Order: sequence, then structure tokens, then C-alpha cells
Amino acid sequence: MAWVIPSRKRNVDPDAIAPAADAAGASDESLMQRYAHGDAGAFEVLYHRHKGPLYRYVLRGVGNRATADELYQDIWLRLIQARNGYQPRARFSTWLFTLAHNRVVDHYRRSRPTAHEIPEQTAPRHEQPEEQAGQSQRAARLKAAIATLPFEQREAFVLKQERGFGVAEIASITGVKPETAKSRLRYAVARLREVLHDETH
Amino acid sequence: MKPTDEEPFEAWLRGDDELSRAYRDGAQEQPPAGVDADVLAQARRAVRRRRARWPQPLAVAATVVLGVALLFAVQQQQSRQQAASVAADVALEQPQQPTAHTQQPARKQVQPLALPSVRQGPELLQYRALDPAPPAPAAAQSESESAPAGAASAITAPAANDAETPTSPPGRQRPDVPRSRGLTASPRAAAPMAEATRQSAAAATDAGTWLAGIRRLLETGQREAAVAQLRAYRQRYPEQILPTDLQRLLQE
Repeated sequence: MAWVIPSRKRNVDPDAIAPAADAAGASDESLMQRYAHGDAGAFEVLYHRHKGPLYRYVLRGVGNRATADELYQDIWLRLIQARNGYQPRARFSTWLFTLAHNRVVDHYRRSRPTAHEIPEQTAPRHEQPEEQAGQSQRAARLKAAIATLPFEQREAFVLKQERGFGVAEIASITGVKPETAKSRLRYAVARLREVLHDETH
Repeated sequence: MKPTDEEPFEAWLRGDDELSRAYRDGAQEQPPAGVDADVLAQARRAVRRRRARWPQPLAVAATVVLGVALLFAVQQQQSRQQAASVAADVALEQPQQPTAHTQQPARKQVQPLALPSVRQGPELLQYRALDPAPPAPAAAQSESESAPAGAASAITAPAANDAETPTSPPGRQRPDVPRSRGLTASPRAAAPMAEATRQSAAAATDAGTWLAGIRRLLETGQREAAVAQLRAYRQRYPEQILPTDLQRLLQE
């Protein structure tokens, strides 16, 4: 699948590496290229842009903080190792979340070696009481409902919510056809809307 | 469960429905600060390692270049010192040389006694060709001319001088070549230190053999020839210390 984004800046002059302070307004792709050429400050900007959405994607995917912390860190390390081969053929965020998807799926397969399919995710117990205290009742119930979704539906829903990916990008990240991705989203949204509706009535 | 209402789904895709707002309200989790620090530290270390890759080969290359240059400079210095040492020897011999055009036509140099062939490097032979041994004084020459036939038959040029002779055309003596020319050519004669050591050893062998020949002349009663040879020897090896009996012979 070709990841082509004509409107994005593709080529960055390696000699034009600016300090990190100047990188705040730069595109993700140029920041990644700067980092690949040795600008650690560019990575820092990139990291702070994506750390929250990526962390929540992993956390929703695996269901507990300890595992999420480990996988989240490993995803960034893989990105660091792959920096020299990075080519801005697609949005950086698409690339990053593809790395994350692969890592989370790999985690599932390793933790359950006998299963050939990604198992349906039961409700994780990642939400601790003290974490829920500061949140609204509605948000807490929604999180619990999200955790009950099958992994594929949950993943598609979180990718849309956290990074605003469209159907085509979700399909690209998860390696399925756009119709499949859209179907997963429809089921997820319908189920979660039911939960919210039940709560309000 | 099959969704039937398209409009709520499209509204969610646009991000302006209640479900999207409810999710955003609760989605506040962040990675722990320690994880942030670890990731950023790893990122910085990876870049530092990458940057540190190229100076290392450069440093090795610079070390090699400097080492070779230093070795070359040391060798050059040794060669210059050796050439200067040889030049100093030549300068010591120079005042004892008679002027070329006053002595050459009639001069008949006393040749050293035959010596065993000593292997010498091409540089040394070339140097000697340009910078030959000084001629014997006039007194020694006359004595040599009066030497008996037996002594004359024993007198032949040593191997080293054989190498010198062909470079000088007949009728033209090697002292005609100015000393400065010999010194000008000396850089080519500047051999490594090992060659200089070998040269010194060869010279000592030559001198010892020559003295032995002189003693044989004395033993066979050819005193005049022995004295002539001794004087020639003295001219050739002024730095050598003569044995006491031979010193006495010279004084007589």
C-alpha cells in the first residue's frame, strides 16, 4: 500500500538542521529526518507531540499499566533504531502507530503462543480507584465499555479518537481493507453509544 | 448487533458527538515520568553513538599519518647526521691534500696493500668514487718508487679502491674532483645507520689487514717498502692508533 502524502514536506536538507527550539513548528516528518541526522532536540519535540495518544493506545490495547509502560517504551526504542531507514512516504503518525500496532499484536501472540488469532479482550482492570476518582462517572463507564470491546474494534476506535485517523489510515495501520476497518468502527461506535445511552436513561 | 443509524456514526467520525466528547474527558493518561526520561535518554545516546562513529576512524587515520611522518623525519635526521659525520671526516683530510694540478702529472700514488674484498653498499662505493682517499705525501711516493720489485708485486689496490678507479679517466686523478662536489653528492651516499655501522667495520678490517701486510714486509727485510706503506697507511687512516713498534718505525 502506497503511503503518499503530496502536501507534506518530504525532503529535508540534512545540512539545515535547526536547534530544537526552532523545530516546534516543523512537521513530524521533518523532525524525524532531523533526528535521523543527529538532532536529538527534534526527537524531543516529536516525542512530546505523540506520547499521550500513543501511550493511551497501548494502554487500551493491553489493559494494564505495567505492560503498557513496557510496550510503550519498546515502541519508541524500535523507532529510534529504525530512524536511519525512515522515509517520509506517509505521515509520521501513521508510521508510529503501525509500529505500535505491530508491537501490541506481537505481545498478544507471545503471551498466548497457542492462540493463532488475537483473542477477544475481556475487560481489563487497568483503571485503579484513585484514577477514577478525578474523572466523571460517564468517562469511567465509557472506559470500562471500551475495555469490553473486541481487540480489533477497540483498536480501531482508539486510533480514531486519539489521533483522528480516517478509515483508510486505520486500515493501513492495522493491515486490513478499508471496508473491514469501517465495519469495526461501526460496531464499536454502536456499542459505546448504547452504553452512554443506557447511562443517561 | 448491527448498526442501523448512519448519521450518528458520521457525526462520530467528524468528532462532534457526545461519544467523542465523553472519550476526550476521560483520556488523560500519560506515560510515567521515568519512562519519558528513559526514552529521551535512549534517543540522545543513539545520536551520540552515531556522531561518535566518524571521529574514531579519523583519529586512527591521523595517528597513522603522524606516525609515518615522524618515522620519516627521524630517518631523514639520521641520514643527515651520518652525512655530516662523513663530511667532517673529509674536512679533516682536506688540508693534507696537495693541490691537484701541481701534483697530478708526476704523482704516482702509493697503493695500499691488497686487501680482502669487503662487501660494501652501492651508496658507499659511489661516495668513495666522488670522494677518494687522499694521496700519499711526496716522501712516501719517492720511497714507494724505490721499493723492491717483490714489494711492488705485493702492492695492488684493495677491493674498495677497485670500485673507485673506473670512475676516474686515465691521466686524471680523483683529487681533481672538488670536495664540495663530493659533498654535494653526499645525500645520495647518506645511507641508513646500519650501512654506516657496516662501513666502519669494513674500514677496521681493511686497516688491520694493511698493518699485517706491513709487518710481513718488515719480517721479510723490506724495511723501505714497509715504511712507505706505513706512511700511506697513516694518510689513509689518520684516526687509527698505530702500534708502538710501528710508531717507532715511522719516527726513525
